[in-house]
Amino acid sequence: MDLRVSSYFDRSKKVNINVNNMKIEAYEGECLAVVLFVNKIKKLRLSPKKKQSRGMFCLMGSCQECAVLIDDKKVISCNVFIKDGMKIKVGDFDKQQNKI
Amino acid sequence: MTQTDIAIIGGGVNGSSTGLELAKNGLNVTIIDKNFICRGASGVNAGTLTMHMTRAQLIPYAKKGWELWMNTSEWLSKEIEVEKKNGLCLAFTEDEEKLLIERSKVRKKYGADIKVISRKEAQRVDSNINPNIRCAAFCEMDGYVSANQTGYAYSKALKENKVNILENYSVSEIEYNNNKYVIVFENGEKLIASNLILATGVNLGKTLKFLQIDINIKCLPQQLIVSERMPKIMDTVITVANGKLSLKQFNNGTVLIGGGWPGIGNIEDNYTETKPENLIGNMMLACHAIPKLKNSRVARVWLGLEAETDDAMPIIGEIPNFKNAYVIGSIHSGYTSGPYMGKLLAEKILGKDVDLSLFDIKRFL
Amino acid sequence: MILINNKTKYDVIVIGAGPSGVSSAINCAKRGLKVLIVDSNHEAGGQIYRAPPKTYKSIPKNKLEENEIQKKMSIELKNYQIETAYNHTVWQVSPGFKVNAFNDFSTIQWETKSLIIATGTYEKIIPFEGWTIPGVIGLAACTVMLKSHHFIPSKKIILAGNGPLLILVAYYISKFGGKVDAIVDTCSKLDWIRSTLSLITNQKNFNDGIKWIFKIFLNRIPVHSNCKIEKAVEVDGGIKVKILNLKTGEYKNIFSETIAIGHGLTPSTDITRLLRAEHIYDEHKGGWIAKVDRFLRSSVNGVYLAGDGAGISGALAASDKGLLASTALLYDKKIISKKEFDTNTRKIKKKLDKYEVFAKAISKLNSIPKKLIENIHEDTIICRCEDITKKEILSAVDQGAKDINQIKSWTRLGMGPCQGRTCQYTASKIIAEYLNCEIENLGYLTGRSPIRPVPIDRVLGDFDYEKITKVEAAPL
Repeated sequence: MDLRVSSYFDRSKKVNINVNNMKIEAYEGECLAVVLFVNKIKKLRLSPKKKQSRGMFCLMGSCQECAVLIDDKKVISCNVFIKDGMKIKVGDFDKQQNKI
Repeated sequence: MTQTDIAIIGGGVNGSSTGLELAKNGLNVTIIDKNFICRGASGVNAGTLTMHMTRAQLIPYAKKGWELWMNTSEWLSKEIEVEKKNGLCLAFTEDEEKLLIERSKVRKKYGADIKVISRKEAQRVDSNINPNIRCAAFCEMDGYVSANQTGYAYSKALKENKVNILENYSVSEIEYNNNKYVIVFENGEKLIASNLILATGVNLGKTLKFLQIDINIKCLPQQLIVSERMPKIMDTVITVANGKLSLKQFNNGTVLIGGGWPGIGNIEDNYTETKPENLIGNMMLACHAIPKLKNSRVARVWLGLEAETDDAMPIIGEIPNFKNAYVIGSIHSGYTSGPYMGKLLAEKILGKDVDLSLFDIKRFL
Repeated sequence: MILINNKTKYDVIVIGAGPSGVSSAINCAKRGLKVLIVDSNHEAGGQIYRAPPKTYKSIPKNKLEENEIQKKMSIELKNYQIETAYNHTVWQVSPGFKVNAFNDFSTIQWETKSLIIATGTYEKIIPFEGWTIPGVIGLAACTVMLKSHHFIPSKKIILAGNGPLLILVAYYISKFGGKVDAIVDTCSKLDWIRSTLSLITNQKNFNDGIKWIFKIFLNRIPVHSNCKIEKAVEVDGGIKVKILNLKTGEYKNIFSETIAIGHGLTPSTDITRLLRAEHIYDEHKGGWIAKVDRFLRSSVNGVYLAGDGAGISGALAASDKGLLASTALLYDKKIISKKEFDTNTRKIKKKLDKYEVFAKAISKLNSIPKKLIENIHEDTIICRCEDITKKEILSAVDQGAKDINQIKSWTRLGMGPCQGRTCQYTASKIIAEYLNCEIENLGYLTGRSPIRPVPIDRVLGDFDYEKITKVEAAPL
């Protein structure tokens, strides 16, 4: 079941994004945090001390929990909008962020 | 009215170290602070334990301080985060290289084991540094303390040694009667002390006025920047030749950027404010030294107020014309040497033969 | 160096383009003031009328009311030639005032002598064991997902907490084809009935509420009143939740894919705390709020509060609060006469007084029962950013930490990227309950810059080492 509600708005064109080398379909301009959530990619990063999985929480740019890595930089996914070919990394940032 | 052997006004690293040492030697000590202890510079500084940025003349003291910090389980509290690290001081231009070589020579003369090494050698020490350096100064005696834990650690140690701590007590007057000091607080309470130590950091000028002593203590508002937690991007404590950068990564992954870039602040209303242009300059320097820092985000910026006398040297020792009154403060790189300076002053008070002539307050009177 | 200094002299900068920000901006622009309005979203609307993503195209025969309101707001801003800085996140405001923000590429600084702060609210969420499991989201987050992004979070969902968002979200989830497995409400059904008399004073919202409740009955959504979530665990396919009846002490297990939970709103005080304005604690108004006079002037000269940031009164009151604050500003700048000021503010205040009755009733429904705090298990994480548990906080209190700033200093609570926005309310409640003292005694977290994490690359861009502001070498 597509979790998209299409009664009031039409999406723009279909695009593909890459999450940890997995292809995910979405529509251009959709909110990344939401797209990840509805595609059941809910575990975005690890908590600092206990290394527990964390994910989208407030969707308002306040809690900072929904951070992902794009181009090796931490960004909060609720402020990111889908573009074709976007490459995202989720999971253990310590292992993901590039070392020289 | 309560009584105490020793009243210490100011519970930062200086006052608390002195008090701790005195209490361990059996004296009845009361520490007074207008806030919670170690909430001034002691709790908000960068916590760098380096010889690269220490005033040359103070290096012997900083070395002793470094040793104390590396062994906090013996005298403070096991729980404060202290790490020994190699220290690299970087030079990017020809001028900086000259400056670095000169300064390293002087620091070495005063006892710091600093060696100037090549770019290749520096990269072997820490592979994360910007490869475009001309050379670097290297010292094994370096590292950091997580300064925000200072209050927690000292609180525990002071309480264990039966020191009375009066927090959120503001002094309004100090009277000298019958060889005793009567400290009057703003809330009306009073404390009688046989000995008085003034250790109020950046407010020392104000405090000395209670004894009608007028010394200029400058207030230097220093900005500090901390990044979010990051994967490991450096393994040393980094400074630069001109002394305007300190950079370290804590165990929790956050990177602390300092170096004495000023913000805006004063002691009249304890007000501080960030200066964005200086934030940016400081960060540029940091990112130039450790390029991977660019991938991070700034999590917090804050300011600490640093005290400095007119000749930038400390004032530690007896206060002339006042029996059993002492002062300790305005120590450059004071966090590093604080525990040792406090010990020295305590030993002097206990009657031991300690030479504090370099820090005599008389030179300003 | 990328610190763009926009040299335009703005008479007023409005931070936040929700209903109160927009109405105050327009009021000022109408009188000839040069206005800049800043918002981190890509459009005006705030949270309540949050515009859908730019790429969404409206279907003409099925318009959403909120979207129409949002579009109107945007058009009006253009009509009055109010300069807009969308997609800009404010990270610092310094006295005088300089507003610093960053966008996708750089940082920018604006200057003004008057500020209207219309930054709205955050949601309060009282923690429970397992609240950090991905899949547990805010009730407000769920609302934004439904009404701005047009997604339902999962096929099935449990809603928990209290207040009107419970029934609003239940309505929209059901309407959009999802299934609400349960509503877990800390209030009793009687609490709701008792609030009817007050809620009815706001006809429109009341009618909406009836519509929402009706759908809950129609869809036979199980409502567990007087209940709270005790614990959540991840299981195959979703989240298992143990709920506790606060009255009977009975436990029940329920299961769903997503949990959306919220306990009302609290005003955003990032900027007012940064500017060292005075704050007071008012539970009914949502917690710590900036102290304002009757006309929404803060204790800092030149700073005015508009909207829910000045105390939760709801969306309809927000617009009028914006009018009130901007009218005070216009009078202070000597643009309008005392007579006009008195007449206009009298009218506005009359309307606002009416909304207060409604607002009080809502805040009652959002009240936090004592048991919700007492009951938090000591291993529960309170500060999400730094993984600080209730046990660690109370341990610091046992060691002598006496106010929230000292707790922060000793435990790192509030030192993470969210700067305590998510945890300060609960942490204060926990400590106050433990020490049996008033929340006021604990103070609030000192405002620190940046109020949002600043990506370092935006601040630096590409730079030349030689160009770093020439600084004198430190003394030897």
